[in-house]
Amino acid sequence: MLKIKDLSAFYDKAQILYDLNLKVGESEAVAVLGPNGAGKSTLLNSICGIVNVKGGIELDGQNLLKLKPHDRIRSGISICPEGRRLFLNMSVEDNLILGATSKKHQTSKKSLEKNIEYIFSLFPRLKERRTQTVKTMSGGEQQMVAIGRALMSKPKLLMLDEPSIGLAPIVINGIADAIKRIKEELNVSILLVEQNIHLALDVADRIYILVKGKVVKEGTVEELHDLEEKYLEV
Amino acid sequence: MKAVITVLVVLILSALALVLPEYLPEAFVYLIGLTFLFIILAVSWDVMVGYTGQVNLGHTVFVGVGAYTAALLQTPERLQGTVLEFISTNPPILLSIILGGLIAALIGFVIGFITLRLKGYYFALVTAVLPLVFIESVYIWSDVFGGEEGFSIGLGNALADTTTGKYYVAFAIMFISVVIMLLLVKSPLGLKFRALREDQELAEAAGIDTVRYKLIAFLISSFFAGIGGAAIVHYRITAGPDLYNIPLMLLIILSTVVGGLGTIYGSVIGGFFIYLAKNWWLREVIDRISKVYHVPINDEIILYAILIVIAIFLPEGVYHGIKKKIQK
Repeated sequence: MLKIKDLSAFYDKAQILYDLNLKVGESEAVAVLGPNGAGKSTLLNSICGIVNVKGGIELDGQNLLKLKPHDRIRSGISICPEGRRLFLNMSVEDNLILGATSKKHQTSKKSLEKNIEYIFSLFPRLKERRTQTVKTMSGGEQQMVAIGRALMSKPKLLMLDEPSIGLAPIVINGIADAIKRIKEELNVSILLVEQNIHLALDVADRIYILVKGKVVKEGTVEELHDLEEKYLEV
Repeated sequence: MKAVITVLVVLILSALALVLPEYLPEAFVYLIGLTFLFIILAVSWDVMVGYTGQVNLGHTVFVGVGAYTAALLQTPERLQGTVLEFISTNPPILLSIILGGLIAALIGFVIGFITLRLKGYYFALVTAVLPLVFIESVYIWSDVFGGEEGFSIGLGNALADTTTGKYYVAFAIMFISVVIMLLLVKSPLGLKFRALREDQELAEAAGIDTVRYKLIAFLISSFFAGIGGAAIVHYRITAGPDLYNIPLMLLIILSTVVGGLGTIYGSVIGGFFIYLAKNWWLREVIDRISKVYHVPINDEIILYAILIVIAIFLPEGVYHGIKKKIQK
């Protein structure tokens, strides 16, 4: 599925990631944990193509570095960006439809409706607010829209950038349940970037700990059973 | 329900427009017909600026290109001695107008292909310079373009034989153009345009080829600006550099902003009232003010005063203001 080899990322001259190696398998959920400034979001932005990088990024054997950002999305990746970036002045429905625009065969009315219905089954609250402008909704609801929009393109790899940030525990539990359902029902691989250890442990199969742009620990959730301690150490 | 009300309002206003010539002097009928064509210019600017958020300050380039294309097609003798001298017959008026739109769109494609990769202020600045370049060409090749005074295409090439006839044809061209642009912006294409306006980076992250869709919007916008320009030439039978000029650009901006950006309906309302204001009742008001109070004033000052008032009380434009009042 996703193979990242010796990846270095830069914002102008500042290097953020250092020779990073990471893999996400078929239908696998991988979490990347790390403190602020560790380079977690930069990692996702590198995969999306909006950061200058050196190294290799492959999705199912295809070299993503040769593709423009919008073509990378078409190749099967999808991102739910940090801070739930949404088209705030548009409705829930419009935001969801815009998530599907990258693939022509998914923009037929029937296909769109089917995908939207699935999103509504994941987040029933959105169904009631289908025509509501997103900026008038709560943070939790906006996060649901953001995840829904990312799913509309039927990605092979769903990338989630700190979906728990600023949300109440009960909402985070709902998000965790939705991520688990997505993984099981859609066979989507998931790359989750988080600071919330509990959410990561709840949904991930494997975990990487990132500090100052370098991977300092990696392993399965079982291998990293004392993860909380290790994380606090670093 | 909303759609039914909209259709009803459009039908009533259209019926009103169709009976208007019966009750107005010919000079006003002529002016309102010209206003209909101006509305095409305002709406086509709205498609680009209001929907994609890309500020094009050179819209009159496409108005002028459409106008001169149609005018030169009707007066092929002006092309003698140029690379286009092989054009010897003048096409039917409808074809001439469509060709005006197509050539404007072609120029739009070339300009857009180069400039739409620029971001933020750079695109606006580059487009702002373009009308000056095209105006200069009118003076340099004055044998072809007629220089400062322009040239006539002959009475036989008018949209219709009578003023009322021209009024109805202008109304039909405006109606068809606006409906097509409305359908386009209400389609999935329009949704992508709005996504660009909201957040370009996010649109790219959602898989939208932002340059491609900006270019599509620019093509649509320039095509209809060209249609408007060509129709104006056939309406008033003259082509002149005023169609490239900055006062026309400012009037288009003013109409669309006052009416409400990104709405189409707002540009129709703004275009109708602002163009008529400038060319009709505002002149009388200015005459009275300057005669009675001896105040040095012109129509631009009053129009921009209106803009300030609208910006304070209806910052999203008249259309949004009316809509909100109705919804309350």
